Amino acid sequence: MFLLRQIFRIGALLMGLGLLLHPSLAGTGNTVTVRIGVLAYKGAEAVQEDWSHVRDWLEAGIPDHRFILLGFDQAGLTRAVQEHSVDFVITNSGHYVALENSDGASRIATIESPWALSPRQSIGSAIVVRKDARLHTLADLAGKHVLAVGPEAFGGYQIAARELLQAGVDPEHDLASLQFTGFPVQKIVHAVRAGRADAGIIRTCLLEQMISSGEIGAGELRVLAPIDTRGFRCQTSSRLYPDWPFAALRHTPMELSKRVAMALLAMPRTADGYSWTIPSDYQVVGELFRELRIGPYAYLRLWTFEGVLRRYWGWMLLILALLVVWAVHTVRVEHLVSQRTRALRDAQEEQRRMAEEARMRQATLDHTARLAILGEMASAIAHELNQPLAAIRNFARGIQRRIAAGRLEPAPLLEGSGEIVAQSERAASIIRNIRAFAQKRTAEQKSVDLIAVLGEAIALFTGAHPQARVIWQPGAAQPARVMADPVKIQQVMLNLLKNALDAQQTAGHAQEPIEVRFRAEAGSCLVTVRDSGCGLEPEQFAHLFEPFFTTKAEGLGLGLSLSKGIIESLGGTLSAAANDDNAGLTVWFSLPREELQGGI
Amino acid sequence: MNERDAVLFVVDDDAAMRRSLAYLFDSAGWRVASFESAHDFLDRYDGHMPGCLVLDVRMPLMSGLELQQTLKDRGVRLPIIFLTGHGDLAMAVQAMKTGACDFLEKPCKDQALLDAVTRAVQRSIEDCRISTQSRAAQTALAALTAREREVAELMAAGKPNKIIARELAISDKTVQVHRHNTMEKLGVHSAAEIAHLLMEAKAGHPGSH
Repeated sequence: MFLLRQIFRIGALLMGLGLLLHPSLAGTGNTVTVRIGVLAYKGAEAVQEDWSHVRDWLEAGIPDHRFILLGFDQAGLTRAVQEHSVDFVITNSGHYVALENSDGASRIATIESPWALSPRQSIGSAIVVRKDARLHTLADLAGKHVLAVGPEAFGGYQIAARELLQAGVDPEHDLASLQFTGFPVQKIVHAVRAGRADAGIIRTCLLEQMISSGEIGAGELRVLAPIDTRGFRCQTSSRLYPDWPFAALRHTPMELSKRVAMALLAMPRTADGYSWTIPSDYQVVGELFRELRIGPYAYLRLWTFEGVLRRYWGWMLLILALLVVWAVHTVRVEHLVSQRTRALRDAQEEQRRMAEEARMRQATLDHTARLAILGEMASAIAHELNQPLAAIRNFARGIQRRIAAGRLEPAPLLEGSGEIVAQSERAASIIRNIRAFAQKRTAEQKSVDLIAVLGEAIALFTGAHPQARVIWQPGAAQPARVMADPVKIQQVMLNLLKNALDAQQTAGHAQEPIEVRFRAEAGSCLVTVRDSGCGLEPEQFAHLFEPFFTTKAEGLGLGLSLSKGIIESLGGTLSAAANDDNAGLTVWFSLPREELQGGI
Repeated sequence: MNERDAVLFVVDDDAAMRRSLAYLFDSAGWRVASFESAHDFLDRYDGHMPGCLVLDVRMPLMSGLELQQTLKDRGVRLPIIFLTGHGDLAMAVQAMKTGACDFLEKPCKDQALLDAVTRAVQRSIEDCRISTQSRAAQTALAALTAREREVAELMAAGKPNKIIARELAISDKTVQVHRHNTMEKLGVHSAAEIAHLLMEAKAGHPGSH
């Protein structure tokens, strides 16, 4: 097929070359050569055969003019028009409309064919199929192998294309294949007959011509979805368009055009029924071009959204789908990542917040517990402060009395004032201790000598509770260092001692000794507080370390639970057991020794 | 016997408090003796020295109230001034019932304390004096025979010889002899004097208030 087209082109070229040898229209002598370019749809040879009667008629009617017929394919003819190497053209309606738009061709006559009653409705597309083919409507052609003359062929493609588009079948996309055979168009008919294609698009009447010439047998092929068109003798699959025009060109002399037109209109009907009539209206062809976006409307095809969409919708859909999938995936992954990140961050934040809250709560509880202990110790503290104040007063009044009585020996006066200084210092240190103890503060872990801290706590306790007898047995000469907040250790110790004293008071013997023992063991320090108080009922042991469990009328029930919390936060343990030999209780706690805490 | 002979006994477990009280009393011109515990005081007090006890209610081992009870049990009539860190009404009532002289809250005005001390010491001196007279009266009465003591009691009640003779179922003459001997032994000249002597003797007994 391609080869045939090439050969045809070369032929056209040779004809063009031949033209150059002819004298031009503006040529010499009396005889003017007029070149008529003809669309050679049935091949170059057919041109002379089909159109010689027109040439002869014109030469006869217009003296001093020699008319020659030049056959071209559509592209060749367009080129010839543009190069001014033809003076008139005979071509199909579609090509004419294209030339009219591009090169100012203007029709001077239209062929009147024997097949049609009106030259305005004399050309269409016939889609030929084998007689037995299971094809009945234009829509049936979707997915079929179809042959056509060429993309520029009017009856041989474009007219049918419009009908197919309107039937919902885009010939450029919905067919299994669309092959252009080029001229001569008879090839299409033969190919369809031979079954090499499902259908072929040819101009109307070609089938009838081939049947009448005996080229193929009648009834071998039929026209698909024929339209009933009154007055048209050929079968058509499309609506009809004006017949071929005879057109002058922009450079064609007006006078010559006029004479040619008049000659043509005067030409008698040929033997096979052709003649020329006044030029037809080719607007309907323009509509077709616009719809197909070809010819003068080809620019509409250049990347219009609809065109691109129509051409590539499958791929675009796929790409779009992939994009959507990718986007969804990306968004989803992003979302998941951000969600997980946020969840992680939230969790960390929550954990941090809870730790902070717990720390704050612990600090508040510690503080509350210390205040509670202070509250329980309030009267003892008042007494403790009263002592130095009363002493100061006594010394001061004593000095005044001595002076008033004139007893001015310096030694007693100095002794008295020295005592005042010492006692006010004592009062200040009590206040300092209480304030330090009551202060709300965050824990301050440091290396402390447990024995010294315990000694201070016991001193603070016995200072506040003179009736208590605490027997303190450090039991070790060397300092025992632990990592702890000394105030917290003192808090625990004061609490245990207070509990012991309260229990002994309840039992009615506050003056019994409370024994505090210290023992350094392999990895830890053990501190024991043993009282001889009222002890606990067995069921009370179970709740001993629960917050707000108390056996005291005025107790808060926080002391032991907080003490246990403090000791455990320092890595130690706090336990209690009934004494073997009396009703009292022994409470002990252990703390890990510093040198064993990973070299802190 | 006067205030110069009296001794203030300060018992307080708080050394500073003890020293300050001693300093104050010393500045006011009193003789002072300090003790850090009730036991310490009991060990060293002879039971006859006039003066007063200045006592902290709250002390370990033996409280002020316990010491008060112990002294009472032993018949020691030493006035006690209680000092307390916190005014405990129940404790004060208990102390006063047991015979405390005063109950002061620390920190008290020194003048109030010194006034209380002065009152207590005067009472102690008076007690000592009464106690001395009583002992003399008892000694004198102890020289009488049982019958002479009976006659003396009835004379102190203002009864005439005739009634005494009837109550004792003895003769008037015998009453006369006993009466004469009794007055001679006691060194008195009237029945009223005998009555006074008997009263003095009775006043010396503990718990006779």
